Amino acid sequence: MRSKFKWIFTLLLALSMQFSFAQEKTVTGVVSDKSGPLPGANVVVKGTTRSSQTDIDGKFSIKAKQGEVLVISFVGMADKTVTVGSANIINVKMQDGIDLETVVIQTNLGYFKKDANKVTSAISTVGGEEFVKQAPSLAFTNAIQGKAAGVQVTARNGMPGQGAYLTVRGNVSITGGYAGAAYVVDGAYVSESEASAIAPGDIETVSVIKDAAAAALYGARGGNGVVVITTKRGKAGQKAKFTIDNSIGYTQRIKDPFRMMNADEKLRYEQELGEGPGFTAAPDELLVLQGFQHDWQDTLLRNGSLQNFSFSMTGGTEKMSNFFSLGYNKNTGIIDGIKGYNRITGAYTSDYQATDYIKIGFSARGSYETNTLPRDRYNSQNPFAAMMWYNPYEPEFDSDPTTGELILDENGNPTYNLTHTGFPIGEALRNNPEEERFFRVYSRPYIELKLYKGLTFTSSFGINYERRQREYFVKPGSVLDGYVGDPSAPGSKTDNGWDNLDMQWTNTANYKFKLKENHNFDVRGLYDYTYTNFRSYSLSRKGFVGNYPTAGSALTTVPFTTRTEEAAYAVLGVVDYDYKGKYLLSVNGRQDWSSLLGQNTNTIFAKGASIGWVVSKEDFFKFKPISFLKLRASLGQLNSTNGAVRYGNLSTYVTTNYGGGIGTVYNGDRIGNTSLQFEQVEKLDIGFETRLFKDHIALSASYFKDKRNDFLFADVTSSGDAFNVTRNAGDWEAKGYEVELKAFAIKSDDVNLSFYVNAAQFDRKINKLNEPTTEAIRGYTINRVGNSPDSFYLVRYAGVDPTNGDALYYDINGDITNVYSTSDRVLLKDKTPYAKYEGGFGMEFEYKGFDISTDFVFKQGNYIYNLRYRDLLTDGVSIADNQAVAAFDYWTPTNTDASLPAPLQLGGVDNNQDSSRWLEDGSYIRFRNLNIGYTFGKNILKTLPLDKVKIYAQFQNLHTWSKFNGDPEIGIGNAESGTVIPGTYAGYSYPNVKSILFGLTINF
Amino acid sequence: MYMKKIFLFTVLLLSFVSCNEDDITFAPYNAVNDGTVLVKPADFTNVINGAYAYMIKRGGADGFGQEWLIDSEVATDNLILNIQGRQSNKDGFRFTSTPNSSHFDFYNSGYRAITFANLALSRLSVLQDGAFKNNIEAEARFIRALNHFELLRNYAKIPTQSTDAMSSLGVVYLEVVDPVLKPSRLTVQESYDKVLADLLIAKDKIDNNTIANGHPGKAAVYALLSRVYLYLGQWQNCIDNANLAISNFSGDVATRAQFYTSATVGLWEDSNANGVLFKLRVDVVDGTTPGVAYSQAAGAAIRSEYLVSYELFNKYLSTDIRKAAYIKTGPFSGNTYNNISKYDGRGTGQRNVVDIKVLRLEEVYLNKAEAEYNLNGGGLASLNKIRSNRYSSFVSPNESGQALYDAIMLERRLELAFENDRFYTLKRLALPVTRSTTEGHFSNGTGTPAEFTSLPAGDFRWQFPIPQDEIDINQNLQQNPGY
Repeated sequence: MRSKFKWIFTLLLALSMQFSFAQEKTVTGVVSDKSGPLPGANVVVKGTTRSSQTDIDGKFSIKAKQGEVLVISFVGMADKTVTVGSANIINVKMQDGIDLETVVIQTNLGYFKKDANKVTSAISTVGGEEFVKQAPSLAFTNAIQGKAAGVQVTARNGMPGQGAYLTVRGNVSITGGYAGAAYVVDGAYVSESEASAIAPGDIETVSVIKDAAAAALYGARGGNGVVVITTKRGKAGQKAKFTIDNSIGYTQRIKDPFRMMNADEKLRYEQELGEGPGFTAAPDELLVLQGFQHDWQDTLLRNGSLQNFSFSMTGGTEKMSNFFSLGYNKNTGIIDGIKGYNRITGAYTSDYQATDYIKIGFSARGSYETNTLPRDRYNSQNPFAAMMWYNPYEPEFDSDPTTGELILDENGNPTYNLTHTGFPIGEALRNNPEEERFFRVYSRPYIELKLYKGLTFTSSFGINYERRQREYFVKPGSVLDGYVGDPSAPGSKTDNGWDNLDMQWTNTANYKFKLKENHNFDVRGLYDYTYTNFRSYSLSRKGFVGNYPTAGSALTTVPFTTRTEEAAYAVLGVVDYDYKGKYLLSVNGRQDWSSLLGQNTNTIFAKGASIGWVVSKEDFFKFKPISFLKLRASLGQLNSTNGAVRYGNLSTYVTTNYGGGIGTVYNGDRIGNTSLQFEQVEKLDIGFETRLFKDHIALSASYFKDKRNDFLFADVTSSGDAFNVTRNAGDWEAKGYEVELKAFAIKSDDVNLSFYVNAAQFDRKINKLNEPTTEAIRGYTINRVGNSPDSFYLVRYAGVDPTNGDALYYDINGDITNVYSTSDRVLLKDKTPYAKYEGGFGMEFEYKGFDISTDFVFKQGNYIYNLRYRDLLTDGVSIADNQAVAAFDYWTPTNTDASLPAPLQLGGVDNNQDSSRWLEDGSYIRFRNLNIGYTFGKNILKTLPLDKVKIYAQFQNLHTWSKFNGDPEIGIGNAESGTVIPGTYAGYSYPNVKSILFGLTINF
Repeated sequence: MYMKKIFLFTVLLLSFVSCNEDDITFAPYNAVNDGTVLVKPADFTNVINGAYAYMIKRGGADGFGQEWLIDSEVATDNLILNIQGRQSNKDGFRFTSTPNSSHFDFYNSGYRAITFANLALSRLSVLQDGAFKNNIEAEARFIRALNHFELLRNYAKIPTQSTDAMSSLGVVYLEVVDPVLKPSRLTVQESYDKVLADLLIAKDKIDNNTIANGHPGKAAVYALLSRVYLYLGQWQNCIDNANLAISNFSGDVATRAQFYTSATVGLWEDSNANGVLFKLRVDVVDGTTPGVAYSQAAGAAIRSEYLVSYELFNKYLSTDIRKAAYIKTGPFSGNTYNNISKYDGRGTGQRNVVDIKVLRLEEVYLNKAEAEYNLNGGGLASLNKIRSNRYSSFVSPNESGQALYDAIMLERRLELAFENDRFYTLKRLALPVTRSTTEGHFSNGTGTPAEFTSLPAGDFRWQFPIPQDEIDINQNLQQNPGY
C-alpha cells in the first residue's frame, strides 16, 4: 500500500515537473523476473541522485534524459542497465542465475559480502542450482567436484547420505587423516557432517576461499581453506513464492571391470591347484556343488530406491523477509535386507529491519537422519567383502544333502549356510541390525546496528548441536551371538553415541568511508570465540529374550561416558582500500589462541596482504573485446590447529578395570606434547580474472604456493610401545595452477549454450622433517624430505620368472631377485594417493523451456594400492575364497609366459607379497551427471494457479573411463580398519553407485 | 533516543569481549594428568594394574589376552590348521611370516606394559620406604622382566639354541619413559643379564600378593627365574629357583579332580587355581575373549581356528585327565574335529573368557626335572609329581637314562600343550618342527594335511620377524637375519 502510494506520489510529482525540464521525459515500465513482476526493485539514473522503486505490480516511473543510463537492481539478481532511447516505456527482465555478471557479482565471505569486482582473493563460487541438479548425492560436498578449480573432492564411499573428502589447493594431512576445509554456514562454523545435512535446495551459493587474505577471517580453522555456504533468505517486499519438488529414482552398484569365477570355474581352479572341495569332492558331490551355482553379488545386493521431497517458501514484507523449507529424503542403498537411509530437514530464516538502525534476524536449521548400516570391516561381516569371497558353489541356505530340501529352523525359516568363512552375512544383516541416528540443529541469531554513517556493528551467535545415537543389536540365537555371545545370557545390545555442542560468538565493527571522493575504505575489527563441548556414552547389555531389544539382564562391558572441551579465540583487523574501484589493497592481521596447544605456545600472530588492479577500468584501456580484467596477488599467513587433538598437550590417564581393582592407562593411548604449537601456513596467490567478448567468456587463473611450517603430525612413539603423540614435525609445501573457464557459444533470450572447464595442477614436496622422525613410514607410504608427502614405498615387482614361476622383484640396487625382502622397499617417485590434475568440464544448453546439461569430472596421476583386487588374485594363498577369472593365468611349465606367478600349492613359494604389483593408476574420467528438463512457463499454465512447472531426469555416474581394476573413486578403504590417507588403498567400503532420478518441480 | 540505546547495547556487548587464558585452558574430564597420576600409594597400585591391563587388553589383540596364547604354538607340531576356520595366523602355521605380515606382533602389548612399569619405577621416590614401596618396585620389575623375556624368546635366539646365540641380537631393554627414544637391540647375553637383574631384585622385595586378583607372589618370581635359568642352561640355578618357587607357594600341583571334573569344574574352568603361581585375570567386563584365538562356538558346535594334530592327540592316553581337560571332540558343519578346549571359558557365562595362566607349578617341576636330568641324570621324582596327578592309578615306570629324558620331554609337551611352550622347547633344544605329511585335520586323522611340514633346526625363521611397523618408526631397530 505504502509503495503504491509512493508510486502515485512520484508519478504526480513527475507530471508536475514535466513542464519545467523540457529535455527530460518520464520513463515508465515494468520490471519482472522469470516468475513475473518484481516489486521493490531499484531504478537509478546512472551518475545522478534520481531513483525510484517498483511498486507491487513491478511498475516504475522515473525522469530521465535520452542517452542516460538506467540501472535496475534487485537483491540477489544481476544489475541490468538500459540506455534511455526515444521510447518512453522500458520493460526490464531481470535474471538470476545463469548471467555471467551474476555469477560473481557478490562474493560472500561468510561474515560479510563483498563486491566481487573488488575481491583480491582466490575464491570459487558454485551456484545453488548445481546442488539441486545433483540431488541423489544428498550431501552437497559431492556436488562441488569439478565445479571449483583447485578443490579436490572424492566421495568417501557410496553409502547413502555419505559426504565427500574435500581439500583445497593440494592440502593433505600428512598425519594420515584428512586435511579437510572448514565449513561456514550463515556466518558460523559447522562441522563437515553438520554441513552435509543441509538440504541442497536451501543453498544459495557455496564459495570456496582458497588463499590467505580472505581465509584470514577464519583463522585457526581457515588454514585448510574455507567453504562458505550461503543459504537462501527471503526477499523483502516480495510476495510469497512456493516451490515443491518431488523425485523418485533408483541406484545400482557400479560394476567391476573384471569377472569373478562361477561355480564351474572355481571348482576347476581348486582341482588344478589340488586344494579345496573342487579337489577333494567325489564326482557326485561335485555335481551338487555345481548345481548351487549363483552370483553372490546378486544374492546380497539389490537396486536401491531413492525418494526426495521438498517444500520451500520465500517472501516478505518491506521490513521482514522469510525463508522456510521442509525436506524428506530416502535412499535405501543397495544392500538387500536393510532399510538404508532417511532424512528429514527443516529450515527457517528471518530478517527483520526493526528500526532504521537495527536489524535482527536468525536462521534455524535442523535435520534428523536414520541409517541402518552394514559393518565396514575387512572380513565377511562386511557384505561387500563377503559377496566377493563367498564361493559361487556355496548356497545361501542349508539344504539336506540327500533330498536337496531346504533345512528349516524351528520357526520354519530356512537356515543360512555358514559358508567357508563361517559367517553368513545375509543372516547377520537381518539378525544383527545396526542403526545410527543423527539429530542436528543449528541456529544463527544476529543483530546489526548502524551506529553512525558507514559504521555498523554486528554481533552474531552461532549454536550447533549435533547428536548421534547408535544401536547395535545382536539377536539371541544369531550366528554372531553363537560366536561371541554368552549362552547363559544370550544376545547383546550396545547403545552408544555422543552429543556435541558448538558455540561461536562473533562481534564485528565495520566502518566504511570515503576520503576525497575516490578513496574508499572499509575497516573491520573482529572478535571471535568458539567453544565446543563433546560428551559420549556407551552402554552394553546382554541376556535378551526373543528378538526384541528389551532390557538385557547383565552387563557385558563397563558402561562409560566421556567429555571433552575445546575453545579458541581470535582478534582480527582488516583494512580494505580501493581507489576508484581500480586499485585495490587489503591488509590484515590476527592473533589466535587455542586450547589444543601447549600452555606457553598457544598463541600466534599472523598477517597478510593482497593487492588488485582492475586494468579494464583504466582510461587507457580501450581494448573492446575485454570488458573486465583484474590482476590480483595475495600473500599471507594462516594459523592452523588441524591435526591437533583435544588434550594432546597433556599426558592424561584414564581408569580401566583389572583383577577386580582399578588400573590406570593412557587416555587414548596418547602421550602429551606440552610444547605443541600452531602450524602456520604461508599462502601465495597470483592470478587474474577477465571477461571477454561481451561477457561471452569468463576466465580466471591462479598460481598458488602454500607453505606449511611446523605441520602437525600424529606420530607414534618409537620405543616400541606405539603410543601416539602429536608433534610439529616439519615443513612442506603445495603449489600449482588453477583455471576456471566458462564460455557461451550462444547467448540469447531463447537459446543458451555454454561450456565450462575447471582444472588444477598440484605439486607437493616435503622441505623439512624435524627430529626425531626424519623419515616417516606409514604402511604403504613414506614421508621423506624432497618428495611428495605419502609417496608409495614398496618393493618393486619385476614380473614372473619364466623358468620356475617365481615372482620376481627388484632389490634395492635394482637387480632382479626372487627373494622377497621388505628391506628392498623403495620410494616410488611421484606415485602418491594424490591426484596431480583434477577438475571437471561440461556443457549446458537451454532452448525455450527445454534444458540439458552434462558434467564430467576427472582425476589424473593418483595411485591406489589395490588390496581388494589382490584378494581376488592371491596365487593360491586364499584359495578358500572365490577368485577373479584372471587367476587362471598362472605359471606352469607349459604356460611360462603367464601373467601370474606359480600358486603356493604348486610352486611351494608364497608369491603373493606386498609389492608394486598391486599399485594401480587411479586416474579416471567420470560422466558424473546428465540432466534433462522441460519447464512449462506461465504461457502454458494460463489456467492453472502456477508460475512454473518443471519435469526433469537426472542421471549420475553413467560411465567411468579408467584402467583401475575396480571403481577408481576411492576415499575410504575400510572404515573400521583405522585411519589412513583417503584413497591409499582399495578395500571393501560401500561401493559407489549409478543412479537415475525423475522429478517434478512446481513453483507458485 | 535510538543512538543512546544502541550505544548502551554496544557497550554491553563489548563488555563480554575479554578473554583470558582460563577461557582456553581445560582440564580433562574423566582423566587425570601427569602431575596427579602418581601421588598417593593407591596411584602406584593403579599404574601397576594398568600395566597388566596393557598385557591383556589395552595393548591390542596380540598381547597375553588373546593372540599370545597361540602365536608360537601355530608354528609347531601341536596344531593343525582348520581349513574351515577363519584362516587366522596362517602365515605362522605355514612358516611364511614376513615383517609386513608378521603373525606375531607382541610389540605393542609388551612395551606398553613395560612403559607403565617404568612409569611406576621412575616416580618411586614419592613413596615412603617400606614394604609397600618394595612391593611396587618388585611388581614393576617382574612385569618388565616378564615382557622383555617374552620378546626375547620370540624375536631372539635362546642361549642354549646355538653356540652363537649369546652374542647374537637380543632385544631393546626399555628402562625409561621416553616416547621419542630410538633404542638399539642389545645382545642376547646383555638382555638376559637385564632380565635376571630385575628378577633378582623382585624376588627379595615382592610380597605375597593375591594370585586370584592377578598379581604375582614370591613363588611366581622364582618360577620365572627357574625358566630363565633353564633357557640359559644354568641347571643348578634352575633347580634352586624351582625349589624356592615350590617352597614359597602355599598350594600344590593340581590333582586330577582339580585339574578337570566337568565343563564347569576344573583348573581351566577357573573353578580353582591349584598350581597357578601367576595368572592374568580376565573378566567379562574386560571385553577381551582369550579363547577366540583357538575357537568360537557356532551354536552347539565349535568352530576352531586350529585343531589338535593327530600325532599329539594320540599321545594323550585315555587314562590321562588332560585328554578331557584340553580336547573336545565334536562336529562342525558336517565333520568331526579335535578342538582345543583349554581356553573356551568357564562353562558358565560368556564363552572364551578365562584367566591366562602364565606361570604354573607344573612347569616349575618340569623345569626342575629337565635341569636335574641334565645335571646328573635325575629328575624322576619331579616328573612323577606331575604324572601321578594326571594319570589314573599311576605307577612309576622308574625310567632312567634316555627313557627318562624322553619321558620328561613328553610330559612337558603333554602338560604345557597350547600354553606357548612347545615352540620354545624345540627352539632351545635346537630340534626341528616335524609335522605329519599324511595326517589331516579331522578327528580321525583324515582331511587336509599341513602344506608345510618342517622347520629345520637352525633355520632363521625360529626368530620371528620384527614387525615392519616397528622398524619403520625406529630405524635403529635391527631386523633379524633372513627377513
